[in-house]
Amino acid sequence: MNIYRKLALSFIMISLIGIVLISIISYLIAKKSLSDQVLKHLESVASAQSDTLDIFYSHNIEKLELVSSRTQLRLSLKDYITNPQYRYQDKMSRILRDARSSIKDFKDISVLAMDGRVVASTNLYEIGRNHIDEEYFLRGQSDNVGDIFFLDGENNLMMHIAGPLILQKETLGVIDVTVDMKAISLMINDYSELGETGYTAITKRINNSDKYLRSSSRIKDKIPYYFFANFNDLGEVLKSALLKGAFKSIHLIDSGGEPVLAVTQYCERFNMGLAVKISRAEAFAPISRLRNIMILIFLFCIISSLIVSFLLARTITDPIVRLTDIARRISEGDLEVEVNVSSKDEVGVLARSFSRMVKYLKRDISERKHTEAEVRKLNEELEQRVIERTSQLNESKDALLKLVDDLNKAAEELKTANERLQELDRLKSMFIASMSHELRTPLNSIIGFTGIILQGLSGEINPEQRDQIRRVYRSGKHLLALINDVIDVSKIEAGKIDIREETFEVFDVIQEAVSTLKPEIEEKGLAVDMDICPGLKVKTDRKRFLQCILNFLNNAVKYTIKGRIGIHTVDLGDSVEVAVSDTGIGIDENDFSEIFKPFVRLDSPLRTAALGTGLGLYLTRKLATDVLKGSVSVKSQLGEGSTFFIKIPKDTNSLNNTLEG
Amino acid sequence: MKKALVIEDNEDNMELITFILEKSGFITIRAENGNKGVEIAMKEMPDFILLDIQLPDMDGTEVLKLIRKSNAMADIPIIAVTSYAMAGDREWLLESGCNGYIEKPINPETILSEINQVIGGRT
Repeated sequence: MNIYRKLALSFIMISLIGIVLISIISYLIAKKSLSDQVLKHLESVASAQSDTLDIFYSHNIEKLELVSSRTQLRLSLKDYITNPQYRYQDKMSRILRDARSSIKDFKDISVLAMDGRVVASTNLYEIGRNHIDEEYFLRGQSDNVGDIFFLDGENNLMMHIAGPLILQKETLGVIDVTVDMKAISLMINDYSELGETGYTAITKRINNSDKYLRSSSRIKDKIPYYFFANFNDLGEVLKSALLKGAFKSIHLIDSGGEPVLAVTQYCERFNMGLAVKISRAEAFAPISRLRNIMILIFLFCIISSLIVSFLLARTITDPIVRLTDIARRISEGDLEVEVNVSSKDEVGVLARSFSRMVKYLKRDISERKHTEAEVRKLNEELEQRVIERTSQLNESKDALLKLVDDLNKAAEELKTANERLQELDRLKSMFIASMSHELRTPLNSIIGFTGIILQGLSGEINPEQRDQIRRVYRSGKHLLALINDVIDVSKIEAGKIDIREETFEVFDVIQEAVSTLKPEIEEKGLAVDMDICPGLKVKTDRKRFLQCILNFLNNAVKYTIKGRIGIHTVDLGDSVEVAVSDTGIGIDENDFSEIFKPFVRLDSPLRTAALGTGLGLYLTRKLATDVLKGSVSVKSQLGEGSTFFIKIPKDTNSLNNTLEG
Repeated sequence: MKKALVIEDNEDNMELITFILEKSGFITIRAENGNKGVEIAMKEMPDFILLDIQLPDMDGTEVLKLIRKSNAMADIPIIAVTSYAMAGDREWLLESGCNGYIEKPINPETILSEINQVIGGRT
């Protein structure tokens, strides 16, 4: 169900409920007031009828007393009783006739003796009849009664009025008057003020019987008459009248089955029920008219509310529907729609906002399209660049492959070169090995023979010869030392030096070194101070350790002109430090790092005098670190002397990772 | 007079060693290679042998083994003569059966003291 139908239906429902409620309420109010009014009217009619009846009764009794109080009548009756003669009867009849002529409603007047026999009457047929069992005779002996109804042969409502005839306190007989009830009938049948169906009904129980006298129904019977009926046939209204006295209702059903509005009353004088009723159809005729009018108005209202509802709903929903349609079209991507909703209410505001939104959206989308176009362009450029890069990469790849080929080739060449290098290395080793032999063999001869000559084993030589031979001898020794150093250095650098470990006393090695250099020390007249820890043993390469100590000691002797050379050992627990000190020329602090480098010989006044290879300290350092797994260091002051330290582990094997230096 | 066999290929060294030994009162017998050395040693039965380790026909240690194999020569003192030694030469030479060890270049003083120490220690 769309919003338009919903709205229209809601409007219709609201207006319908309103109209129906108003109609029902006003109908009920109108009906109530109308029925009240009708009932009140009926009540007043009933009350008037009842009053009329009361007056009728009193008049009748008064008229009866006028007759019964006539003395001539009573005296004549007395006479007749004592002496039943016709003339008395005649006298009474004359009096009765006279009375009847003077009283309009009296039909027949009779005088009954105490035995019930009619002794005089205006009706000649009555004389001689006995009415000893009649109600009026029985009741009339003691009191005046005026409520005994009966119907004559023509179905006219008649009534007996009876009273005692008393003379000198003696009841002589009963006077009976039949009264035509035509006046009452006329009154009852007077329908003025009662419209088309309104009428008065009466009912009265016939004494000493189950029969009820009642009047006919105007609605049912049209012609008014009287008849006898059983109580059950009386109809609801008359039953109510008899049983309840004063009563009014709008929901009673008449004897003919017609629903009626009725007011009932009970007349005590006549012991009679009285009802004034009117058919509901007539009573409520104005209401029916009102209802018809109201139905017309109702229909008109429905139709107009329908029209108004649909129009109103359309007015409200039309812009919304149009907006919905526009929104749908926008959602489908159509941004060219015209937002042509111009109502002045909130929907109008919505429409204008919507229109603005569409405008922004359009702008936004055009911007976005622009951006997208740019992005696409960028993407294309990027792709182009990727393609270019890819081709470049392919080229690079080719180049790389070529490079890899080259590299492989280079590796091949390197391999060949490496093989050649290994070959060269082997050749070098062979060279060194042969050098050590071939160079030293002639030197051995030179040194050996000059040594023999200097010792004088070959005979005496003069001092000049001795000096010259000594120069040859010393040069040979120097050359040999030089060759040995070169061989050692190249061995160490090639990593081909063999390490022979043995356990020995440090003291022994120092002793050996000192004794080796003893000739030079003594020649220079130097003092040697030794401070060696007794029993200090190490496990290392003895020959190399000796070589280091020898080198230090050799340097100390070489660069010291006079003074002393000191050798100290320090037990450091895991390691041993040997310090060789001198009182020589000393070394500049700046040269400390230089002196352990290869082929470095410091400029000094003793340089030419002291022969050296420039490899001594470098070799010592290499031996100390690479072979002995220790370190070397120096302390010195220029002109004061130097101290060289070598520190080595007591057992190279036990010191794997705690190397010092 | 003690008889010394000198096994040495280098003529100069042979001259030097024999000169020193003879000056010091030893009788010297010369052999210029290993095979001759073993042959002469068997024939002459010297009091001691000075053995050069680097020989042209065989290694000095082989000569040593050959001599030590013979029951007759097993007890002859042998002093090895080497040029500037490879590290640990001294040790393995002594282990191989040498009784002494002399390093070149030969110093007249040290060679005599070494020889005296070896043969003196035996007698």
